[in-house]
Amino acid sequence: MKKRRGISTTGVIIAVVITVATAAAVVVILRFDPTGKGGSGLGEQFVYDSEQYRKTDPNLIHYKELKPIETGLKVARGIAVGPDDAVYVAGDRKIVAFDRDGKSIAEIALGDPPQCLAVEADGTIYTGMIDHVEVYSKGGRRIAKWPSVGDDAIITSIALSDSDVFVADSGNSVVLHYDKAGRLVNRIGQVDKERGIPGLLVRKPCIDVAVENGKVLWVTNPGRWRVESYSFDGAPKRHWGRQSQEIEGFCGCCNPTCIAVLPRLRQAQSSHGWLITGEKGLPRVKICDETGCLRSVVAGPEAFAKGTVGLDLTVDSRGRVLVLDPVAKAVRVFVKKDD
Amino acid sequence: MRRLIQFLIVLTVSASVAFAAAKLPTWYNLPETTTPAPQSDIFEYIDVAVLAAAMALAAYLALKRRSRRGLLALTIFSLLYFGFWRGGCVCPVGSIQNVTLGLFDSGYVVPATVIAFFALPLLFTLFFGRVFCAAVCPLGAIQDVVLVKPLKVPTWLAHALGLGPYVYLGLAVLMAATGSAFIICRLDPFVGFFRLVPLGKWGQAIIQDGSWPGWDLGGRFNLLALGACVLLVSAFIGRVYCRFVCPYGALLRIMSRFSRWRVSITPDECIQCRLCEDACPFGAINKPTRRKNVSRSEGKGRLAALILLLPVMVAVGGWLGGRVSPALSGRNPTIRLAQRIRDEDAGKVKGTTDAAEVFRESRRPVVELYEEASGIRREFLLGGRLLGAFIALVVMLKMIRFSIRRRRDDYEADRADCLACGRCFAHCPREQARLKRIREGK
Amino acid sequence: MSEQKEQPDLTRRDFIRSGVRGALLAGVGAATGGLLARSRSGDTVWQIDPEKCIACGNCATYCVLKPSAVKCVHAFGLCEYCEKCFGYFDLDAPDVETGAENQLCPTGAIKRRLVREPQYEYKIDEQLCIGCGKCVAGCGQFGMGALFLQVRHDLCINCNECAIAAACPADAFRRVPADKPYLLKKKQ
Repeated sequence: MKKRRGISTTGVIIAVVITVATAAAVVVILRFDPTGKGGSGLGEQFVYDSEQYRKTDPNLIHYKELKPIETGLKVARGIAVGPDDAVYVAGDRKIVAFDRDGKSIAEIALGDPPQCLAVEADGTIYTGMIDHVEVYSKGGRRIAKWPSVGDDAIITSIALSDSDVFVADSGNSVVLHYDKAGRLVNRIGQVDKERGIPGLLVRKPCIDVAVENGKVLWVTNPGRWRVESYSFDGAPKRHWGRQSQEIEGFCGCCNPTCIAVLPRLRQAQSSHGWLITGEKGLPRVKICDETGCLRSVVAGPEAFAKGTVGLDLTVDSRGRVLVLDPVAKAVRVFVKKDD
Repeated sequence: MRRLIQFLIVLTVSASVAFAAAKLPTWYNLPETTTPAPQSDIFEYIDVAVLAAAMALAAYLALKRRSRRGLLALTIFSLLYFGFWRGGCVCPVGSIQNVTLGLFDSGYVVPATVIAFFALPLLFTLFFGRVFCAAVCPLGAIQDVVLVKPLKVPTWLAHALGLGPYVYLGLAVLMAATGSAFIICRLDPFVGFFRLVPLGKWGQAIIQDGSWPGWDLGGRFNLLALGACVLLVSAFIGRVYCRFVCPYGALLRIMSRFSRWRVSITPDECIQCRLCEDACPFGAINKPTRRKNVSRSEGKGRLAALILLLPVMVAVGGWLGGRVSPALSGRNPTIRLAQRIRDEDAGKVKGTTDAAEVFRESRRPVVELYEEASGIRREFLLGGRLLGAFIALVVMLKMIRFSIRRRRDDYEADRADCLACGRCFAHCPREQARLKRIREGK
Repeated sequence: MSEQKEQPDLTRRDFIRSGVRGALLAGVGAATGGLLARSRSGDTVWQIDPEKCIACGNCATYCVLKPSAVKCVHAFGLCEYCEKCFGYFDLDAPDVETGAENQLCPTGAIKRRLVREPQYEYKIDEQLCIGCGKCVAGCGQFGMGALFLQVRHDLCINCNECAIAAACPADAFRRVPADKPYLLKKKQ
């Protein structure tokens, strides 16, 4: 290339333009973030933040966690405590049992995927399939298969008393009261304006039942963010609970999703039971007294994987809170800190 | 700011249970989720047809009619149609990556239209020279129309920069073959402009409901800035992207070297008038060789040395490529994730990223991720070595080409460099004579 | 000296050239032929797998279009028509007052309509939606997950490599056949 002697202004300008443009192009290429490293760059108002509710005041947590029991299940659905504090877990197409130290003691194969279970003091197992109940002996032999509850049925929980079986049917928003032979006695929790029953409201199938002291039936009413108690004839007794993201309330669109009655030894001499409740959305397990007042947090959201749904819980005779974690597929064991 | 990961596991947990929806009043009709359809395939087949027709026309205009004006009109049409109307995507340049990924990943299906976009310009070039570059490629067209004051790039610099397309091609193939990224698309400098004036979208909206959707000032700032820079440079250095960057150009150069027909400056014979010497803004005109030059033996010695050096250089290139492969592999999402998880576990970094969080929530074993990552790293090592060897080979072949003396008697358009734009025609007095004959009806 | 010597030389070069041309032709033919045999007649388009999406917000900003071609859509069959909708109301909203300060959506793109007390219908105004996914996160975490993000194909220009896909931390983007261009959430 021939170069002119005199420096032409245009030449200089062009050279500068080319240099600047090339440099700018290089800068732009280096500034590219095609891999999303820099995040969305959206302002605060565009970001959903529930982090503040995912932290629990440590002073409220009165429980500590022990070593969990791995269930070995792919899908873990329901948990119950049997004689000698044996832990029974329903999931996949089987029931697995562990002794109080977490050693596997039994495995019962089932024909259908179980949703829930309850175990009698003598070891008889009642397990809820989606639309019917099956009864198994302690040895794992099927004793009975009750007829289907109906096509819409989604059985989500079973609770037992000495002579009654309570089956929560989330599909029809009702608790079915059976005798031990499988005869339907009563339907509990249906809308009844005269008796002041607003009806069970569920959005996801998650009605849970528990029996207190062999006399009172506790039912979750997740769509109304409360728990309700009934006498066995279906008369409403008490209810408590309110919607709140705060630890004192039940969070989200429908909670609690599971309950258990705390054994008497834990409580002051009160005529009513204290309940352990489990929630989804902000997965947390709490203990509330008979007025619904928060007494203790067993495990806050930080103890569970985000998005955990489908906790089930129970409590054994020693007061250990056993939480079935469907994400970890394990039974998480919580004991009081001062024990 | 940490964001929340939800529902990954949850859905698998509750999946087996069906549940009735809300009990709504009977008069209420449950609305459907709307699903606006994508543009019909038929348009893509039309695009392929337009591509083929445009190239055929370009070949006719460049080789037979020898009409610069016609080529310019076609260039503008292509800019409007392939650029602003279809938004510049998929283009043959980007299709390299689809084809590569299709060849390496049997699970990836390349649509027939994309294959056609990849193959047709190559085939046309094999027969008619780079007529695709001349007047069909929208990327070339947008640079061509802004070329105001072409500067001559010194030959040595042009040759050095001319390696760019091969390096870019090699990188793009490596990134596509490993399923890491389509870097050509990421760094396409002009697609931002094409989207700025989305004629196709406007046209459709106007046809459909008579409305004009307005300016789409979206096109990402970075992309527009890069495009502006490249256009600014190409106002002075003709088709700077085509000559020194375009990876598809590298393929077309190879094809063009062996093309059946090609553009010639003169319609019949070269009278060595030198009038066309500076006619090409892209430096693609070769001068005749001077007779009295270096002794043949000297040239031969150099050639022999280069040929002997070739395997050595290729090996060195391969080794170097292997050395840089870890840096290249950082672009792969799996490797990035594995590195992040490793760093987090080792406490080297604080906090977490969304991707790491998703991985942890998935409860996939870390070992599995590491194994997958090291598999990809091995691919990158192999790919990096091949890339290095390829670049070394290109460099060596270029040097060998320089040392082979080939006699040239006339002014000729370089087989590989010539973009068949037809700018040189008017400079040739023989062409003027031909046009005069035509005008006179002879 | 030149005429006689050049003639055979040129033909030899032409011969080599034709040979290489044939080889290149065969190469391009083989590569594309193999791919064509596997190719589908129909095209593919980008879509978000709602089961994988974590509503990170990248969809709003990484799309080459502005506003993004990704919008929130609503699976009405999954929706519970809650009065207290976690996709509609801010998490901290005191209750169910529809005032703008209580609404979750930063652009006010969710419209609420009473169906029958206490059931409300929620609809997305796609003109206003920027695809940030804030409501998707709210509905997903505390509601039914009826709100989710989808690439809207009347807007999407179907880039060869989707810029959002490359930036997606959850690997939720994938190409789907153009005749089934949506991955909708359905009643399970």
